[in-house]
Amino acid sequence: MTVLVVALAFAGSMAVAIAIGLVTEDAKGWIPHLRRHLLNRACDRLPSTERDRWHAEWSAELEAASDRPLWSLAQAIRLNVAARTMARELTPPQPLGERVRSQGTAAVSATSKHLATLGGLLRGVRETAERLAGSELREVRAFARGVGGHYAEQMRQITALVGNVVRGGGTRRRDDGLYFYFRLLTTVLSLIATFALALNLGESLFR
Amino acid sequence: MAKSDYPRVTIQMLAILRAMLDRPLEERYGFELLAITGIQSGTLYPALMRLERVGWLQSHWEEIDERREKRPRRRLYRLTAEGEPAARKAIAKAKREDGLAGRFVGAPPIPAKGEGA
Repeated sequence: MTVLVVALAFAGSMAVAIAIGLVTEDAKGWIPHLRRHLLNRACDRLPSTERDRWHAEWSAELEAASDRPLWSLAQAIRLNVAARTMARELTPPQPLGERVRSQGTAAVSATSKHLATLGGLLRGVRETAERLAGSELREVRAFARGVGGHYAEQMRQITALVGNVVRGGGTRRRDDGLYFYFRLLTTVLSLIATFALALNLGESLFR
Repeated sequence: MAKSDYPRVTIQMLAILRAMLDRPLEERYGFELLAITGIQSGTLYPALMRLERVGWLQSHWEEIDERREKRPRRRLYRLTAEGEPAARKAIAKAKREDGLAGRFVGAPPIPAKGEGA
Protein backbone atom coordinates (compact mmCIF):
# COMPACT_ATOMS: atom_id res chain seq x y z
CA MET A 1 0.00 0.00 0.00
CA THR A 2 2.79 2.38 1.01
CA VAL A 3 4.67 1.55 -2.15
CA LEU A 4 1.58 2.32 -4.20
CA VAL A 5 1.10 5.70 -2.48
CA VAL A 6 4.77 6.59 -3.02
CA ALA A 7 4.55 5.52 -6.66
CA LEU A 8 1.38 7.56 -7.17
CA ALA A 9 2.91 10.60 -5.46
CA PHE A 10 6.01 10.26 -7.64
CA ALA A 11 3.92 9.96 -10.79
CA GLY A 12 1.80 12.93 -9.71
CA SER A 13 4.80 15.14 -9.02
CA MET A 14 6.32 14.13 -12.36
CA ALA A 15 3.08 15.03 -14.13
CA VAL A 16 2.92 18.41 -12.34
CA ALA A 17 6.57 19.13 -13.19
CA ILE A 18 5.96 18.28 -16.85
CA ALA A 19 2.81 20.42 -16.89
CA ILE A 20 4.64 23.38 -15.31
CA GLY A 21 7.48 22.95 -17.80
CA LEU A 22 5.03 22.92 -20.69
CA VAL A 23 3.16 25.97 -19.41
CA THR A 24 6.44 27.86 -18.87
CA GLU A 25 7.66 26.97 -22.33
CA ASP A 26 4.32 27.96 -23.75
CA ALA A 27 4.36 31.24 -21.81
CA LYS A 28 7.65 32.18 -23.46
CA GLY A 29 5.78 32.13 -26.72
CA TRP A 30 2.62 34.03 -25.81
CA ILE A 31 3.86 36.55 -23.23
CA PRO A 32 5.64 38.80 -25.76
CA HIS A 33 2.49 38.88 -27.91
CA LEU A 34 0.29 39.69 -24.94
CA ARG A 35 2.76 42.32 -23.76
CA ARG A 36 2.77 43.95 -27.21
CA HIS A 37 -1.00 43.90 -27.29
CA LEU A 38 -1.21 45.53 -23.86
CA LEU A 39 1.33 48.16 -24.87
CA ASN A 40 -0.60 49.00 -28.04
CA ARG A 41 -3.79 49.19 -26.03
CA ALA A 42 -2.16 51.55 -23.53
CA CYS A 43 -0.86 53.81 -26.29
CA ASP A 44 -4.25 53.86 -27.99
CA ARG A 45 -5.60 55.60 -24.90
CA LEU A 46 -3.22 58.52 -25.38
CA PRO A 47 -3.87 61.49 -27.63
CA SER A 48 -2.52 60.83 -31.14
CA THR A 49 0.16 63.53 -30.77
CA GLU A 50 1.74 61.73 -27.81
CA ARG A 51 1.25 58.15 -28.94
CA ASP A 52 4.48 57.55 -30.89
CA ARG A 53 6.76 58.99 -28.22
CA TRP A 54 5.35 56.90 -25.39
CA HIS A 55 5.06 53.78 -27.52
CA ALA A 56 8.75 54.00 -28.39
CA GLU A 57 9.74 54.71 -24.79
CA TRP A 58 7.66 51.96 -23.24
CA SER A 59 8.43 49.32 -25.84
CA ALA A 60 12.17 49.97 -25.31
CA GLU A 61 11.77 49.59 -21.55
CA LEU A 62 9.68 46.44 -21.85
CA GLU A 63 12.01 44.89 -24.38
CA ALA A 64 14.99 45.54 -22.11
CA ALA A 65 13.11 43.70 -19.37
CA SER A 66 12.14 40.75 -21.57
CA ASP A 67 14.38 38.42 -19.52
CA ARG A 68 11.75 38.80 -16.76
CA PRO A 69 8.63 37.92 -18.76
CA LEU A 70 6.07 37.95 -15.97
CA TRP A 71 7.40 41.15 -14.45
CA SER A 72 7.39 42.90 -17.81
CA LEU A 73 3.86 41.63 -18.41
CA ALA A 74 2.78 43.16 -15.10
CA GLN A 75 4.43 46.43 -16.12
CA ALA A 76 2.59 46.37 -19.43
CA ILE A 77 -0.68 46.06 -17.51
CA ARG A 78 0.29 48.95 -15.23
CA LEU A 79 1.22 51.07 -18.24
CA ASN A 80 -2.45 50.95 -19.17
CA VAL A 81 -3.23 52.61 -15.86
CA ALA A 82 -0.51 55.18 -16.56
CA ALA A 83 -1.84 55.85 -20.04
CA ARG A 84 -5.37 56.33 -18.72
CA THR A 85 -4.16 58.94 -16.17
CA MET A 86 -1.95 60.63 -18.74
CA ALA A 87 -4.74 60.77 -21.32
CA ARG A 88 -7.01 62.43 -18.76
CA GLU A 89 -4.37 65.05 -18.04
CA LEU A 90 -3.40 65.62 -21.64
CA THR A 91 -6.96 66.00 -22.89
CA PRO A 92 -8.42 69.42 -22.09
CA PRO A 93 -11.50 69.05 -19.86
CA GLN A 94 -14.75 69.34 -21.76
CA PRO A 95 -17.71 71.30 -20.37
CA LEU A 96 -20.26 69.03 -18.66
CA GLY A 97 -22.87 69.52 -21.40
CA GLU A 98 -20.33 68.58 -24.05
CA ARG A 99 -19.27 65.49 -22.11
CA VAL A 100 -22.83 64.33 -21.62
CA ARG A 101 -23.54 64.89 -25.29
CA SER A 102 -20.44 63.03 -26.50
CA GLN A 103 -20.98 60.12 -24.12
CA GLY A 104 -24.64 59.98 -25.05
CA THR A 105 -23.71 59.89 -28.74
CA ALA A 106 -21.20 57.10 -28.05
CA ALA A 107 -23.81 55.14 -26.09
CA VAL A 108 -26.45 55.54 -28.80
CA SER A 109 -23.94 54.56 -31.47
CA ALA A 110 -22.95 51.45 -29.50
CA THR A 111 -26.59 50.58 -28.89
CA SER A 112 -27.57 50.94 -32.52
CA LYS A 113 -24.57 48.88 -33.61
CA HIS A 114 -25.56 46.04 -31.30
CA LEU A 115 -29.24 46.33 -32.05
CA ALA A 116 -28.38 45.79 -35.70
CA THR A 117 -26.32 42.75 -34.70
CA LEU A 118 -29.10 41.45 -32.48
CA GLY A 119 -31.65 42.01 -35.22
CA GLY A 120 -29.46 40.14 -37.69
CA LEU A 121 -28.99 37.24 -35.32
CA LEU A 122 -32.69 36.94 -34.60
CA ARG A 123 -33.52 37.15 -38.29
CA GLY A 124 -31.08 34.30 -38.90
CA VAL A 125 -32.68 32.24 -36.14
CA ARG A 126 -36.14 32.91 -37.52
CA GLU A 127 -35.11 31.88 -41.04
CA THR A 128 -33.51 28.71 -39.70
CA ALA A 129 -36.66 27.94 -37.73
CA GLU A 130 -38.78 28.57 -40.78
CA ARG A 131 -36.61 26.26 -42.81
CA LEU A 132 -36.84 23.60 -40.11
CA ALA A 133 -40.57 24.11 -39.81
CA GLY A 134 -40.82 24.01 -43.61
CA SER A 135 -39.13 20.63 -43.82
CA GLU A 136 -41.32 19.35 -41.03
CA LEU A 137 -44.33 20.71 -42.86
CA ARG A 138 -43.33 18.94 -46.05
CA GLU A 139 -42.90 15.68 -44.21
CA VAL A 140 -46.26 16.01 -42.51
CA ARG A 141 -47.90 17.04 -45.76
CA ALA A 142 -46.45 13.98 -47.52
CA PHE A 143 -47.69 11.80 -44.67
CA ALA A 144 -51.12 13.37 -44.78
CA ARG A 145 -51.26 12.96 -48.55
CA GLY A 146 -50.28 9.34 -48.10
CA VAL A 147 -52.95 8.51 -45.59
CA GLY A 148 -55.61 10.66 -47.31
CA GLY A 149 -58.66 11.60 -45.27
CA HIS A 150 -59.30 15.05 -43.88
CA TYR A 151 -56.41 16.67 -45.71
CA ALA A 152 -57.58 20.30 -45.46
CA GLU A 153 -58.28 20.02 -41.75
CA GLN A 154 -54.95 18.33 -41.05
CA MET A 155 -53.10 20.97 -43.05
CA ARG A 156 -54.79 23.76 -41.13
CA GLN A 157 -53.76 22.23 -37.84
CA ILE A 158 -50.21 21.57 -38.98
CA THR A 159 -49.82 25.10 -40.38
CA ALA A 160 -51.08 26.56 -37.11
CA LEU A 161 -48.67 24.36 -35.22
CA VAL A 162 -45.67 25.38 -37.38
CA GLY A 163 -46.71 29.02 -37.10
CA ASN A 164 -46.61 28.68 -33.35
CA VAL A 165 -43.15 27.16 -33.49
CA VAL A 166 -41.83 30.03 -35.65
CA ARG A 167 -43.40 32.63 -33.40
CA GLY A 168 -42.27 30.80 -30.27
CA GLY A 169 -45.89 30.35 -29.28
CA GLY A 170 -47.02 28.32 -26.34
CA THR A 171 -49.26 25.66 -27.82
CA ARG A 172 -46.45 23.13 -28.07
CA ARG A 173 -45.22 21.21 -25.11
CA ARG A 174 -41.87 22.23 -23.66
CA ASP A 175 -40.36 18.82 -24.32
CA ASP A 176 -41.00 19.18 -28.01
CA GLY A 177 -37.60 18.96 -29.74
CA LEU A 178 -37.90 21.72 -32.32
CA TYR A 179 -39.60 24.12 -29.94
CA PHE A 180 -37.00 23.49 -27.25
CA TYR A 181 -34.00 24.05 -29.53
CA PHE A 182 -35.55 27.14 -31.05
CA ARG A 183 -36.16 28.69 -27.63
CA LEU A 184 -32.68 27.67 -26.42
CA LEU A 185 -31.02 29.20 -29.45
CA THR A 186 -32.89 32.50 -29.20
CA THR A 187 -32.22 32.70 -25.45
CA VAL A 188 -28.49 32.08 -25.88
CA LEU A 189 -28.21 34.57 -28.72
CA SER A 190 -30.17 37.18 -26.77
CA LEU A 191 -27.89 36.70 -23.77
CA ILE A 192 -24.78 37.07 -25.92
CA ALA A 193 -26.14 40.18 -27.61
CA THR A 194 -27.24 41.71 -24.30
CA PHE A 195 -23.84 41.03 -22.76
CA ALA A 196 -22.01 42.57 -25.72
CA LEU A 197 -24.34 45.56 -25.65
CA ALA A 198 -23.79 46.10 -21.91
CA LEU A 199 -20.04 45.74 -22.33
CA ASN A 200 -19.87 48.27 -25.13
CA LEU A 201 -22.18 50.67 -23.34
CA GLY A 202 -20.09 50.44 -20.20
CA GLU A 203 -16.90 51.02 -22.12
CA SER A 204 -18.28 54.02 -23.98
CA LEU A 205 -19.70 55.56 -20.81
CA PHE A 206 -16.70 55.09 -18.54
CA ARG A 207 -13.86 55.60 -21.01
CA MET B 1 5.46 72.03 -23.32
CA ALA B 2 3.18 74.04 -21.11
CA LYS B 3 4.94 75.33 -18.03
CA SER B 4 3.30 76.59 -14.88
CA ASP B 5 4.96 78.49 -12.00
CA TYR B 6 4.62 75.85 -9.31
CA PRO B 7 2.90 72.53 -9.80
CA ARG B 8 0.99 70.51 -7.26
CA VAL B 9 3.73 68.17 -6.05
CA THR B 10 2.59 64.66 -5.22
CA ILE B 11 4.41 62.07 -3.13
CA GLN B 12 5.40 60.21 -6.28
CA MET B 13 6.81 63.36 -7.81
CA LEU B 14 8.81 64.01 -4.64
CA ALA B 15 10.23 60.49 -4.73
CA ILE B 16 11.31 60.98 -8.34
CA LEU B 17 12.86 64.35 -7.56
CA ARG B 18 14.66 62.85 -4.59
CA ALA B 19 16.10 60.10 -6.79
CA MET B 20 17.15 62.62 -9.42
CA LEU B 21 18.77 64.89 -6.82
CA ASP B 22 20.90 62.05 -5.50
CA ARG B 23 22.91 62.30 -8.71
CA PRO B 24 21.76 65.49 -10.38
CA LEU B 25 24.17 65.21 -13.28
CA GLU B 26 23.16 61.69 -14.19
CA GLU B 27 20.42 60.80 -16.58
CA ARG B 28 17.94 58.11 -15.65
CA TYR B 29 15.44 56.05 -17.60
CA GLY B 30 11.92 55.16 -16.57
CA PHE B 31 12.36 51.60 -15.31
CA GLU B 32 15.53 52.65 -13.48
CA LEU B 33 13.50 55.23 -11.56
CA LEU B 34 10.92 52.54 -10.99
CA ALA B 35 13.55 50.38 -9.26
CA ILE B 36 15.03 53.27 -7.25
CA THR B 37 11.79 54.81 -6.03
CA GLY B 38 9.65 51.70 -5.78
CA ILE B 39 6.81 53.54 -7.49
CA GLN B 40 4.67 51.47 -9.85
CA SER B 41 4.78 52.34 -13.53
CA GLY B 42 1.08 53.23 -13.37
CA THR B 43 1.97 56.32 -11.34
CA LEU B 44 5.61 56.84 -12.32
CA TYR B 45 4.99 57.85 -15.92
CA PRO B 46 2.17 60.31 -15.24
CA ALA B 47 4.44 61.92 -12.62
CA LEU B 48 7.36 62.05 -15.07
CA MET B 49 5.10 63.60 -17.66
CA ARG B 50 3.91 66.27 -15.20
CA LEU B 51 7.47 67.11 -14.15
CA GLU B 52 8.49 67.40 -17.77
CA ARG B 53 5.52 69.58 -18.60
CA VAL B 54 6.32 72.04 -15.81
CA GLY B 55 9.91 72.15 -16.99
CA TRP B 56 11.59 70.55 -13.99
CA LEU B 57 12.71 67.52 -15.99
CA GLN B 58 13.80 67.20 -19.57
CA SER B 59 14.12 64.06 -21.62
CA HIS B 60 15.83 62.96 -24.78
CA TRP B 61 16.50 59.74 -26.67
CA GLU B 62 19.58 57.82 -25.70
CA GLU B 63 22.30 57.91 -28.34
CA ILE B 64 23.45 54.34 -28.77
CA ASP B 65 24.07 51.88 -31.55
CA GLU B 66 21.00 49.69 -31.11
CA ARG B 67 22.54 46.78 -33.03
CA ARG B 68 25.69 46.75 -30.96
CA GLU B 69 23.86 47.19 -27.66
CA LYS B 70 21.20 44.69 -28.78
CA ARG B 71 18.42 46.79 -27.30
CA PRO B 72 16.37 49.78 -28.42
CA ARG B 73 17.35 53.25 -27.26
CA ARG B 74 15.75 54.47 -24.08
CA ARG B 75 14.27 57.80 -23.14
CA LEU B 76 16.52 59.48 -20.57
CA TYR B 77 15.43 62.02 -17.98
CA ARG B 78 17.43 64.66 -16.15
CA LEU B 79 16.77 67.68 -14.01
CA THR B 80 16.74 71.03 -15.75
CA ALA B 81 18.56 74.10 -14.47
CA GLU B 82 15.20 75.35 -13.28
CA GLY B 83 14.15 71.98 -11.91
CA GLU B 84 17.06 71.36 -9.58
CA PRO B 85 16.47 74.27 -7.16
CA ALA B 86 12.73 73.79 -7.47
CA ALA B 87 13.11 70.11 -6.52
CA ARG B 88 15.23 71.00 -3.48
CA LYS B 89 12.66 73.59 -2.47
CA ALA B 90 9.78 71.13 -2.86
CA ILE B 91 11.54 68.45 -0.82
CA ALA B 92 12.53 70.91 1.90
CA LYS B 93 8.93 72.12 2.06
CA ALA B 94 7.65 68.55 2.34
CA LYS B 95 10.09 67.82 5.16
CA ARG B 96 9.19 71.01 6.99
CA GLU B 97 5.56 70.11 6.89
CA ASP B 98 6.52 66.69 8.29
CA GLY B 99 3.51 65.06 6.75
CA LEU B 100 3.30 61.82 4.81
CA ALA B 101 5.21 63.38 1.94
CA GLY B 102 8.06 64.43 4.24
CA ARG B 103 8.40 60.94 5.66
CA PHE B 104 8.27 59.47 2.17
CA VAL B 105 11.10 61.68 0.97
CA GLY B 106 13.39 60.41 3.73
CA ALA B 107 16.88 61.86 4.12
CA PRO B 108 17.42 65.52 3.18
CA PRO B 109 18.69 66.04 -0.37
CA ILE B 110 22.33 66.71 -1.09
CA PRO B 111 22.85 70.47 -0.91
CA ALA B 112 23.81 72.18 -4.12
CA LYS B 113 27.18 73.97 -4.49
CA GLY B 114 27.26 77.17 -2.48
CA GLU B 115 24.09 76.23 -0.63
CA GLY B 116 24.25 76.05 3.16
CA ALA B 117 23.46 72.75 4.85
